Amino acid sequence: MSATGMNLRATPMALHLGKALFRRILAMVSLTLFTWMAWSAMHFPKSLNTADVGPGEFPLIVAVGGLLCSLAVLVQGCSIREGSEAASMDVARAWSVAGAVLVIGAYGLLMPLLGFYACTAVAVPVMLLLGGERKWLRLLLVTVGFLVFVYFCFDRLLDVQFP
Amino acid sequence: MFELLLHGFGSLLHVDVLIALVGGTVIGYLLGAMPGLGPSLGVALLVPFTYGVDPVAAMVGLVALYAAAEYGGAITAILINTPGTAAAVATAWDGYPMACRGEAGFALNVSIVTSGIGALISTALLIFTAVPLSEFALSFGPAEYCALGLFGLSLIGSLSSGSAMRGLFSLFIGLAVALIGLDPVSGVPRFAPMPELFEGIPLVPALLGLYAISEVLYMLEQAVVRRESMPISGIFAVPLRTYRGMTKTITVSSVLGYLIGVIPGAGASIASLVAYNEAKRTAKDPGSFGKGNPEGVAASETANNAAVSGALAPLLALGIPGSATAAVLIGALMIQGIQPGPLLFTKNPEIPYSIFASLLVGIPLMVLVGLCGAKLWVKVANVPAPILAAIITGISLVGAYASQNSMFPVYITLGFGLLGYLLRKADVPLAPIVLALVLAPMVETNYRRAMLTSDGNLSIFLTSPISLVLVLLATLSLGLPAWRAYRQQRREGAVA
Repeated sequence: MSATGMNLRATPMALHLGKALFRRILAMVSLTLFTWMAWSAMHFPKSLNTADVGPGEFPLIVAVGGLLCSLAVLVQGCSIREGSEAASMDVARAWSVAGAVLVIGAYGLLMPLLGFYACTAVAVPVMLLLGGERKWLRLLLVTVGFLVFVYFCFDRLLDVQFP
Repeated sequence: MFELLLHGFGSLLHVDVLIALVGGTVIGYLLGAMPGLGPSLGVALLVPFTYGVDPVAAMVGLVALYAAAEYGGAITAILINTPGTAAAVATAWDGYPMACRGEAGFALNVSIVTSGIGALISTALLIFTAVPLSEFALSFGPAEYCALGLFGLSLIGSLSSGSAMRGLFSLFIGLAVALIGLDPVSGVPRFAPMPELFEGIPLVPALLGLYAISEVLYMLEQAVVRRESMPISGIFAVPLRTYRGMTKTITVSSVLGYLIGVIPGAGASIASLVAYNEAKRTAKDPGSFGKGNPEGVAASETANNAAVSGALAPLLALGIPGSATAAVLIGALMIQGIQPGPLLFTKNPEIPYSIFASLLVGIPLMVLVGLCGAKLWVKVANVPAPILAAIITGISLVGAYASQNSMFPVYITLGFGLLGYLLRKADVPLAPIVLALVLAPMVETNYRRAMLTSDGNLSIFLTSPISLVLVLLATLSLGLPAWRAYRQQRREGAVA
């Protein structure tokens, strides 16, 4: 059950993931990134001023700290018992979430090509549909309302130049 | 100081500042009443609207939103047992049982009025402590600032909700992100393969991604649920003598809330829990807490609103955010070209004193708006999630674009949105990332300056008494959770 009382296992399109596995993946990705960070930091040019620690010292300290924390998260991920409540990481309505990620990504990529207002006129109703909204009047009112709001607030008042 | 405070009151007489004050209060209530949206998200969403606006009006509006949103979470906590913000969790423990026995109006009245009293007391504390603190901080050198930043970072990591280790993990992710850009001393590009990254990751777009876009993805997981709320009646029918009996609880909770709010990373949620526990511990009838005792509501709400002014104290006086929301306020100040810290009181005194004045005027306004609009805020909690998700996405991306009039911040928002969602799924808190983004440049720049001043000698951090104390406190706050975890493990091992 989720915090809101939803029975996630009975929810359609729910994605059931192991939290332990997810944490391990997260830890391994961060271990890789912090290792790369440490390696890069060691190759930054030294400062000409002997009193200055140089551009690489602080990143190296952060990378070492990050590596230690990533290891700790990896250990935590390995210690969660599979099948326990803490081991479950459900993504309810996974297709909606994945769809939203794609829509928002496409919105950002296509905006310079197609223009802000055209992209927004498509993206907003698609987001509403992904969220489960089905009343066409609401789809229309929210889309138009948002476009009008942005036009007056940002374009006219704040003089923002949209693509 | 009083003359400057009078000037602050004078600035409230401008129409744009008044509009910002009222608008910020109303929007704050609306956002606070919606579960999942809170002051951090609200302030982050409103920051893009402050581009090109007078700095005084911008800050007054944002602070008003912060205070009202912190209160707004109590409404749904009491009426539908769903706290609108994390700081209202303790409010629900007694507020909802009161509502269940037909005292919803009474509970709302107590929560609104005690919030107002707590906010007023902590504002007074803010006014009388921020100025001396900023004057004291004028004597800080690079070593002291570096140590202060380190202390703040150490607290953020160890005070995070959930596992302290995941809090530290989040902190180091934030530190790593903050290092992207040109080195502040030598100008060498660090982890910045493109020119757009030379100035580092822009703060406001990153915050919009972390808080707004990640919340949108969470909202899309929820099915549309209509919650039936308790009927509200008698919200104005609470006699004043009710509050006389709560004087001690209100006073103690206000001071606790302010002090906890000052601590970076602690925030309103910890303040409300500590105040609630203290009120219960010292109550004549502790068993009644959790079953509808109005003092439980009073303690929680007084403290969480008092924490707002507490978070503003280090922000204005030292340039260090006392909470994630205060970190967003730093972003707003930087957009206006204003550097928070002790020099704020000398170079731009109109900003802090207008904030003080707006709090003193805005808090009674907040109480009035809260009492009169209680039934409206409840309706707001039932705005369908798809509509909220679409609007928040749109405003976030528009706001990100407007920050630099280019697409790059939009991509930052998208990237951080996905990162924020994935981290939340893994129970990694986001507040440490935000605070690290703000504090890391201060720590590194001052560390490098201190080393240049001392000719590479680290003892500069130990010879200055202020720096020494802060470094010791930082070491303690980092070591204590680890020591406690180790002792806990040994105890569990002994029992087994």
